Amino acid sequence: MPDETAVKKLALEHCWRINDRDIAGLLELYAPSVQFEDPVGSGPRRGHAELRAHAAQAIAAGVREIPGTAVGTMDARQAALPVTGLLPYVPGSPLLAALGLSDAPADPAGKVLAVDYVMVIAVGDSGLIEQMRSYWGTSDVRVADRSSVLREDRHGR
Amino acid sequence: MVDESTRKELALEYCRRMNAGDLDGVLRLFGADIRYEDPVGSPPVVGHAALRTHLAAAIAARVSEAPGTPVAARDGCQVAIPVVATLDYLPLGATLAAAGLVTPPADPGAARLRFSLLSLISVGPDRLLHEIRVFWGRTDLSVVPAP
Repeated sequence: MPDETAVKKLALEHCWRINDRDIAGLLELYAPSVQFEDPVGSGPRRGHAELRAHAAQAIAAGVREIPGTAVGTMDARQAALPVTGLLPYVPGSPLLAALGLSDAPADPAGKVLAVDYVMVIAVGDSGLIEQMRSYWGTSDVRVADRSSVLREDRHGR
Repeated sequence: MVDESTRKELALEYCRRMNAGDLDGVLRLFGADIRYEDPVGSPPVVGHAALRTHLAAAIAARVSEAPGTPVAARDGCQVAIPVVATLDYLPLGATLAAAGLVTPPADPGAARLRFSLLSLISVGPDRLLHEIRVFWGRTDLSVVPAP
């Protein structure tokens, strides 16, 4: 059975492996029967194949994840982690409309798409992630200066 | 369905009212059927009367809640918010120390408990909070000197 620190580390590893573009390594963190929902409200998906496709899409878009401070639970089964995901900002990209950013600025110089979200994971006896839920809404997506996002500390650390 | 900004504002307002010691004001944010699980995995506090007791203890211990950035969900009802909460070591600290969760400080009267936590909140169509699940474990809890 995993301990609290190990469960927190799993959530952080998710971010590091996304940043390393290591999809195979990412899947090693997850049980084959994993259920995930990203974002919450979009409907759950299940299994490695769907998770692989989801992660590959994010990595292909150039995502970089900046994790905050993970917190655990007394039963050492769950962890929650605030994260800021950064994506290259491409004016006119269909991604902008999909994210609800219809009035995004035209000048991409020094800009990134920043998505603030909270990832909640649940871990089984195997020590692998059996459930992952990612909380973010339209109001959590913004166009920001890359330098300011990297400086700011939204997690209060 | 409750819009995202309203949900976030409710989460922040909860922190503000706790910091102001406004117990009646805090309780007005909750539905009568509130289910409050603090921490996740413990038996939930259910209903206004039980929640009043729970929150009154925190306010009596001069709780201070420093919220981070709330985020929404696309389901029309949930919001998540990281918070760093501090409160006087006594009386709760003695219970936590007896459970082996913290090391008692040399001077309990001059110490505070610090919780790094994350609250997952469900808001109903009535714009009241109906469920809060507070994530924190033993590794998120520490004893710090009182300022």
